[in-house]
Amino acid sequence: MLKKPIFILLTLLLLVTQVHAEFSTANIYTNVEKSVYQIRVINKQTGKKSSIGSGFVVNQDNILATNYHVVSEYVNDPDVFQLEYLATNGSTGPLALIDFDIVHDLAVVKAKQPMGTPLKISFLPEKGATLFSVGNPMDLGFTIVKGTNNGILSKAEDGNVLFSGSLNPGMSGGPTLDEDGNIVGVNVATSGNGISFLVPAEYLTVVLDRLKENNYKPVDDRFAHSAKQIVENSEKIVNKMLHSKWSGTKIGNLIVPAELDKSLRCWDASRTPKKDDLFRTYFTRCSNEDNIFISSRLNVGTINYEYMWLETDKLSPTRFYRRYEKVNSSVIGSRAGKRDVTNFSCHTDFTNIATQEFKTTVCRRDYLKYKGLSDMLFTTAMVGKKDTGFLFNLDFTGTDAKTALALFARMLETFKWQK
Amino acid sequence: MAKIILETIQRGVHRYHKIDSFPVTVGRAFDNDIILQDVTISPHHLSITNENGGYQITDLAGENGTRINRKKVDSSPQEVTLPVNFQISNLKARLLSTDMEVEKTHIQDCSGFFCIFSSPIWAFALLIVTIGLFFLERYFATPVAKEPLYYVSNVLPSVWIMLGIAVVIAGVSRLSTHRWEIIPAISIASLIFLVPQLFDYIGHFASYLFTSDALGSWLKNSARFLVIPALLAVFIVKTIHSKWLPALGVAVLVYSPFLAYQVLGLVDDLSLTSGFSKVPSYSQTLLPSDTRLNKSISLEQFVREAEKATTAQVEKMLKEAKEKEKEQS
Repeated sequence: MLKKPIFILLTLLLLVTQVHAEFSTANIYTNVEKSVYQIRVINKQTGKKSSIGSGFVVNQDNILATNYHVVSEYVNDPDVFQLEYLATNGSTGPLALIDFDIVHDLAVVKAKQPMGTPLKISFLPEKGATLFSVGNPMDLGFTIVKGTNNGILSKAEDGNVLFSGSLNPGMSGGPTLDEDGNIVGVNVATSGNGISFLVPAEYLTVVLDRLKENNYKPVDDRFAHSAKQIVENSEKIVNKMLHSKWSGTKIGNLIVPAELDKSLRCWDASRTPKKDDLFRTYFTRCSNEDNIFISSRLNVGTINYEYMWLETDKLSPTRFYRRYEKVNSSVIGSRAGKRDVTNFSCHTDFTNIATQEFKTTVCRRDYLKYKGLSDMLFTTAMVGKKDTGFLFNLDFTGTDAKTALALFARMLETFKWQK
Repeated sequence: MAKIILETIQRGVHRYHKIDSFPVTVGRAFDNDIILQDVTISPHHLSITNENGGYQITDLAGENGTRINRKKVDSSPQEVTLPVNFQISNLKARLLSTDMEVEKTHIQDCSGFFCIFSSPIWAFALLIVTIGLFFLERYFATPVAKEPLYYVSNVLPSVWIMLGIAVVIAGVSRLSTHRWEIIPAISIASLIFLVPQLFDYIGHFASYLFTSDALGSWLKNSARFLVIPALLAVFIVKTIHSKWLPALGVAVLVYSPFLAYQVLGLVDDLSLTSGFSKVPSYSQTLLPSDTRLNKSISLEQFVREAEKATTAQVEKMLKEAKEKEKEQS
């Protein structure tokens, strides 16, 4: 009769762990409850909240951390909105923005009075460790969510942590704690089905250290502050690409760079050939996963490029070029409007690349409020061949023009013609 | 032998009344020498006399009156020198002498370029070429294999519209000249479709040749505004034998409803180019023949030039935006 004791032991073990976990979750919640707040952006005219998120006391008893995207409306229109907190006991009061990290989606706000015990920042535990997220989902009340740490994403440039737990809107800006109740991350995003993302707490440490040195002095020019951070981040990313070893891929008779580094992913998007096709196209599209939230209308940080090879042995040059010309049209996927950016300024000429001739265009537009920030669009089309065509489009949102141009030139330099 | 002629123009019809003996009475009543049927004309409207070697016009009724150079004539005889334009109530009239010089005959036998409007061979050639171009355009724009019937069904609507325009032009000429003029109508209708298409081809070629869309869009706009009125004017001059200036006037008048539509399109285009656009505008044309004036340059040179050009332009736009903001605040 060996089976029975094992079974009992197993159930016992199960019971023990469950009890321990429940105890731990409840314990953590009571410990942090008084340090977690709902952060609200209030329209001054109506006095009603237009967006909500969560925040927590850190470093000092009147300093709160949250996500940049939670307070973005206020950052972009401080005349229209104001910031406010709501405590677990129902009390409210005003907040002032003092600093933010737009790239890592973090913001730090200051209250007029002590807000509770500052939470401690700690390192991210090993993969698989249990984490607890606290916040106020959908304005339903403060909740705690248990999940698993799945480590820092290696592919994405923003270096967020994959958290296997259910974060919901409104929990943004809330703390994620380890089993000891220390902050290891800030809730930031979810893609549903228990796939959620956290900003590692180390980025918050950087902002807090900077603030401490300045004696918590608020930033004066918010737009310049944002622009500087975005440009620096873009320069860092593009320079990293410029200096890494690129893998090549053959499309038609050209060998072109594929993934410039691991933050970029390439997909084949060729049209499935049909028997009676008069021409063939091969199409590869690459993009990064990076996306910096500026406002609900504006995201930057994307890098996309695509290669298209067209060839025919059945179409006449005129017919083939009609088709070729139709696909030679590049646009930028951005919602930036009249209030955000200038018009595009473009320059087109014919260039020698990889022993072939290309019609090449560079387009640039700048952000009106964010000095030094540009959207860049590059496109080049092979010319002079009656039965083959090749297009390369590359575009950046929110980058430094010179750095982007350098990457474009470097990519073209590595093109090789191979029969 | 008639001494003078009274010309009256009633509903576009010119009538010539020979006057041999004086005085002559003109009016609606049947006891007049010259009877004019129009209710605005008095029964005994005016009289024309020939005294002391001159001619005089006298208004008899004083109802709707007679005007010489917009000046009313009263019951005392008014001296006139021939030829003279005057108005009997609302009717246009002229007094002419018989030895007046006559205009040169418009010879119907064509000469030079404009023959294509009257020769049936030319008309049908133009028609065939235009329909052929419809097919060719469809064929070029379809990069996959299609049945011939596909092209027929695609081209037929345009052919019907073209023939419809020919019928309308012929009908208008029937009403105004009592001739059908079907041959010139077919020529003009074909050209209305053919010429803008040719302008388009030339514009496309020029865009690639100069690596700039400026000439192309200029040609497109001129095709939009000038081609059809010009062709209509040619039709009027060559078939109704009118003079160029009035013909052009009529052509513009006829085309004006469409012109308004085209102006709307142009304004849209202009606001797109002068206002904000999310879409970059750059020279996208590609030609299989690769005919161009710009020689290929090295990548370094291109990058240098592109950076310089775009930076300067963007900085200018930023400066303008800043000034605009300053003005508003």
